[in-house]
Amino acid sequence: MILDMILKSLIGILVFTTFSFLCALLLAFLAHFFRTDDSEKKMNKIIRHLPGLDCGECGYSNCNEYAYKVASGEEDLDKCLPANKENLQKLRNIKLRNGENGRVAKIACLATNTSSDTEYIFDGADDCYTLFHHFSGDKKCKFGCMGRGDCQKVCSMNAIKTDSQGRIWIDAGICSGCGKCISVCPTKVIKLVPLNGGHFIACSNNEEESVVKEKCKWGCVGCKTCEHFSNAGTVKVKENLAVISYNENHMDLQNIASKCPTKVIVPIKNQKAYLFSLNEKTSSTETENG
Amino acid sequence: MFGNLLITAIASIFINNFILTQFMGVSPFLGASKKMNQVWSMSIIVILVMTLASIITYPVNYYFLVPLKLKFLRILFFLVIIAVIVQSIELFLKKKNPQLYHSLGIYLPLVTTNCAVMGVVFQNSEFNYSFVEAVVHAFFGGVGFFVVLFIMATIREKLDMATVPKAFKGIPVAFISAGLMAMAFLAIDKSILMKLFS
Repeated sequence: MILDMILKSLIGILVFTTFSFLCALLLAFLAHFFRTDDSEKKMNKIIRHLPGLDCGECGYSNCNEYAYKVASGEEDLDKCLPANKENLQKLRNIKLRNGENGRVAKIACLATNTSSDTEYIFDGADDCYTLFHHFSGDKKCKFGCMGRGDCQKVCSMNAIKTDSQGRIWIDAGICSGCGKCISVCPTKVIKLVPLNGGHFIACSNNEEESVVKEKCKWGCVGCKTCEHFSNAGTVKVKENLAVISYNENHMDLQNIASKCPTKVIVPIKNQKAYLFSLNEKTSSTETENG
Repeated sequence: MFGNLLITAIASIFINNFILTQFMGVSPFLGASKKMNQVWSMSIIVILVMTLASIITYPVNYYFLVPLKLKFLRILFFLVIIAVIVQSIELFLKKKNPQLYHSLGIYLPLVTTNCAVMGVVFQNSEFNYSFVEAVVHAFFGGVGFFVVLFIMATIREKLDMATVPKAFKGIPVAFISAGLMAMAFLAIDKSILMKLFS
């Protein structure tokens, strides 16, 4: 009885081992038969330097698919917006063609908790989407950031921050430019700007000067000072709102920004330091006056 | 004969549904039902692997394990066979259609451990199905998997829009809706089908 059982299990072990061995042989044969060539290796190299966000900005559903297209020569590297400069430099070694684009998202509004008066007290769900559908937000300015932070929830890089005054701003050093925040912002106040563009206009209100002044202390009033000081037509005022056309000579933007009476031309790269220095100045003048 | 096959087909889609009545393959059911394109790739692989696995395990079971009286080793043999099938499909796709391979991503290797595939193979040998019956059972079991995944994905897309209490967001509300779906699937009885088709 016991001998029979031992014999049975021995046969089982033997048969199973042989079977697994045959299966392994079959797989090894298949692996040899279907072996992949160099494009696979090249693709793996490209994948390593892609951001891996699967944001879909390039038009493909994930980074793998895009890397495959690049490796086979059907696509250019410049479709990938989130890839940072360092990574693109590495990619250039793999593939020579490359486009110049590093874009970051920026909130074109400097609204703080106190900058614009509220029309009514909103007591509903604490998100922009709900707030926007109650008379386009509780602030008097209907163009700006409502400050409830829907964009912060979708950001996969945690680049969107809130400062001590309740202003929401995007850190250009962290932002990958994937544009997820743009799609959730109900007031469409977030815009993509070139990382090396220099400055951007931090206001979206295109109403008359007197109306803007009444509503918000951080608004672009359309005074055309910037247009006057820009010699190559870098900044133009369209519908009471300044617009920067980003091209090669953005060197004079620094000069123009310092002339802006309401200080809404803000540097892209170190926004926080700039706003901090601005706050220092305003608070010191206030104390002097007081 | 034909009526019998029809009963098997409809029964394995609606009545003996792998996910909702037998509770097999629940993890891909919740994992891959977030987006519609994932549903398509996942269910195509599952249908393919289920059908191939039951085609291959049928002769292995009846011409190899039963004569040698090694039926107690079924679980090991079937596991190895399923793994080999999945691996060969993976190798084949990698060479012939890399784009499809990369869009399938992780779901292809995950099918190896999908218990619905294992379950269909076991049921084929447990219920003593004939070869044709086994293949029909496996194929339509896969179709049933797809149907449930498809419905679940549409429900979850709507659930993202709906106002759900904070504690129930995500997986909990998915489980609740899965439970309600399971109750709906239990409404169909096999005896009604028997009367209809034979």
